[in-house]
Amino acid sequence: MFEIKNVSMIYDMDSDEKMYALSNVDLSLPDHGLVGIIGPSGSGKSTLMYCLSTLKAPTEGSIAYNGEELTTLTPAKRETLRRRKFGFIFQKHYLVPYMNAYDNCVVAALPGDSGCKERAKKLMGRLGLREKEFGKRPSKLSGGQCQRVAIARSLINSPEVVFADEPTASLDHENAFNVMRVLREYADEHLVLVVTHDRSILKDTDRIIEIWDGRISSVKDTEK
Amino acid sequence: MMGHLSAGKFIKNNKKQVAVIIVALILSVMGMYVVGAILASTRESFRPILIDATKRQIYLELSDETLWTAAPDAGDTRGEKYSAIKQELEKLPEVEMVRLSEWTQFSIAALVGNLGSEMPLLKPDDIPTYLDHMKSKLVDGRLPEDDFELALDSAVMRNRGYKIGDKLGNNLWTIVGIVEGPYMSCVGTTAHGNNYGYGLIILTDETVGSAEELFAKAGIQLTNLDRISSDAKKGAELFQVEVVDQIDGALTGICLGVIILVAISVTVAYNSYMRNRINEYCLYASLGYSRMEVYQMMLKEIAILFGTGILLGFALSGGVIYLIDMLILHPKGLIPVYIEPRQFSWICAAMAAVIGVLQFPALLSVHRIRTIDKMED
Repeated sequence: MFEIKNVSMIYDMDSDEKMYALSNVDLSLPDHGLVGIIGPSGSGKSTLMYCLSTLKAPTEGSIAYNGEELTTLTPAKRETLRRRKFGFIFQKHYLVPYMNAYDNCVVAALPGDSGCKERAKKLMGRLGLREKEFGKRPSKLSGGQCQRVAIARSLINSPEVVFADEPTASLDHENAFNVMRVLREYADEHLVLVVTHDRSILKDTDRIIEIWDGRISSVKDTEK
Repeated sequence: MMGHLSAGKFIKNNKKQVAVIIVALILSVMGMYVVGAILASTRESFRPILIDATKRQIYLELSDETLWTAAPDAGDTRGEKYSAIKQELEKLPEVEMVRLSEWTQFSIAALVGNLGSEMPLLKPDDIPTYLDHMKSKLVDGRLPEDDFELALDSAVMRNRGYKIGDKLGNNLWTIVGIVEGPYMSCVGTTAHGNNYGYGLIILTDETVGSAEELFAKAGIQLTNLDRISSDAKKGAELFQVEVVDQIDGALTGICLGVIILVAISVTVAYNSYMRNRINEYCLYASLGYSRMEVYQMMLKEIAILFGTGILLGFALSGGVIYLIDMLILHPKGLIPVYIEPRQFSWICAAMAAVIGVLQFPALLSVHRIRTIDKMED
């Protein structure tokens, strides 16, 4: 699904001391499965995820998604791809403060998707939110509940790929486990990329990619 | 392609913020429309006197030069000359009645400004003819019969707070009757020299454009020495210069002031809301919404806010004008104006200009939209 060749991401291109967030990364990712990207803070794992999701454009190299080169896509095509094929869970939940949980979930739905309302309720239910919480604004929800709404939002269009940046960072152990169970189930038919520095949440992953100083230090497929 | 970005959600869920802008818009629309309506009421209250009534009557003092030139063989006194000219004028089909008589003035006070107008002082026998010509009818009291008596129009009576039996002008005049007609016509009996003018009072049909025109038909050339107190041309000029132009000038100044205040206050408030929502816009961009879609959502929000504010503003203005009519205009015998198309267009254009000004903060916010990865960097 993803073919990444020789990808580098350089910050401060014009300065004498270039900063390599990613350096000559080569990687292949399947069309489904739960893939963990792990590494210390500043290792480049989030940058890699953002490059794959078209939010960032790498300085060098090629990223192909289903045979289509992402680095040369027009902004409009990148937006369409993110809208239709990708789902996002960010480090912070980025919920719209004046919308309730349900509206925050539906805001990412595709145009003309009449089934999104029912799907939003089901997703939030599966993520442990109770019906009375659907109508609450983010200010009335706990950090964990907000993050679960954000996760439901990422899945509302049944995206081919889910990019999750520290999805369990603000969750307690039980809810973190619950979220990972949902992502695990979703990964049976789709690709879920989870960026984290918490190895304990990656025990059910199909593959773990370790990054260190912008380079992939190891890729391990998990045996089941 | 728009997805689920809805302008309605921000409006529905931010009632206080939205209310601030809508109330500002309502007040500004009301301010401009109600002031416009009050000034228009002044204009429309003066129109029957300055435009309509002057088409049906002429008040004119002829100079010696004209009198002697126009009637060289008609005796040696001014009265004899006037009589000769009067007879010539009465031959014209446009003329119903010509009298050599005195006139005085009555005045009405609008909400803005006062207006004085001629009131003929006729012999009692001529008063019914005059009132009939001016389409006025006696509605209370009686017609003037003795010297120093007046019959005033009901609107003038209300406007000045008079009642039958009141004494006016240092107790010189007595109001004996109330008449009612479309031109706010008033009439009195002779004043024995206590007048504003003495000369020809000519009642005509509405085809006469001016005193000069009428006299030309009688073969008499008026000059600058002749003093025309009132005719259709003078009434129209007075109406344009003293009423319409003055009102337009005042209205333009007031509306410009209001609209500048509105533009500044709404832009400041809206810009502050935009700044608070930048994370929201960045989220939309990260999820795959284009900047154009976000901008379109902003435009819809602005359209809903302004549409609501303007509609409510006009609706409430109608209510306020009704109250002003009931409490002030009607008791003062003035004419209310509820629908003023020019002011309506002016306000819509002004609001369109404010919407145009709002494009700057909106486009600036669109320009500031980044994706969330950059925010987290």
